[in-house]
Amino acid sequence: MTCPECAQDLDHCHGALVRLPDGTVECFDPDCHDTGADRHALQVRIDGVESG
Amino acid sequence: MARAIWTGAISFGLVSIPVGLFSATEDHTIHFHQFERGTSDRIRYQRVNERTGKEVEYSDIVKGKDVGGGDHVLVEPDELADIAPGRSRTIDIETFVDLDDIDPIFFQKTYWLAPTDDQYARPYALLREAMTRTNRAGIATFVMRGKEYLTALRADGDVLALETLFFADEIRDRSALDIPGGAKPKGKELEMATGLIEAMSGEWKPDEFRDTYTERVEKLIEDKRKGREIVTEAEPPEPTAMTDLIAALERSVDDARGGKKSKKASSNGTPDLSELSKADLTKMARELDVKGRSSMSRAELEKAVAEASGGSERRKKAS
Repeated sequence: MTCPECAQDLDHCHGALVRLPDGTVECFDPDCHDTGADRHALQVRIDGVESG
Repeated sequence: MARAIWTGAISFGLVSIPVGLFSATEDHTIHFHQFERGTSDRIRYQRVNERTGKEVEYSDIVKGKDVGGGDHVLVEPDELADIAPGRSRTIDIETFVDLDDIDPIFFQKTYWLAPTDDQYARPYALLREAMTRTNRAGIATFVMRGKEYLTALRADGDVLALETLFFADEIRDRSALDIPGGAKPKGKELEMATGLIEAMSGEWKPDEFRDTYTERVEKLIEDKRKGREIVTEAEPPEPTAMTDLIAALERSVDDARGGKKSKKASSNGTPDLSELSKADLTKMARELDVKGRSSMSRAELEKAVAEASGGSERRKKAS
């Protein structure tokens, strides 16, 4: 299945954003240059998966 | 050319303006990679199928909502897009409000909007100029990545800015803070505090403020890279005791009116140790050859440096 955001050439990341208990945010993708939540379709808290 | 994170159209009455959405801000926080201590082994995240242990591609991941009893309802991205409120490709302006009426607590993040083609420059400029003239912001909703956003469109110089806003029910109830009430400040205390604010007032110059913590983190990394000695930052100041409030305010007003922004020095030119950071005190302690300095707290360093420099002064005078 083709990513619709890739098809539209939108700025986005396929990594999952990880929210750690200390408030820091990391991305699964080591090449991710911007950990803005608006670039990530998949977001994870270490205690579970968010709805976003 | 920056890439948009969303494309769609501003809907303004019967006018539709195709636009791209661009982040107006960026976070300069230093992002660290993770390693296992004592090794040079990177920690990696992987999305794996917990049954097979195999990594799963981004395009093969769907979301599942826990509905209890170990059951999940799985939802495809297209299904979420289909039920997105309103037209998910449109920023629908519903009303215009006075920009000054929006409490800053509602502001979340700023984006810029740009027309996707030159042919849309005219309606774009029209909306921008009309909002500038009226000092009004267009309140709109739109959907991005499966989330509905409440937004305020406003003119920002030559561009249209879009502020995402918190919904009212996302603002926490301040009564939960349990602020002790009853004591309304008045009299000399209030006059002093008001005077201090007046004395410290100035123009808003954002360029004068820098992220000094990030700069220190960068310096720490650079020092470690070069193998130099590392120093640490000072501890936060002690809270002002109630009995000291008037005296602290008076000193603050005097300082502010006198424009004292640099570190205080005593009459003989030596620095006021109470004003120095732990890093500064550590440096002085090293120069004065204070024993055991590396394990001292900031307060212990201040005392030790005071004693050592006093002794040093006496030795200088004696020689």
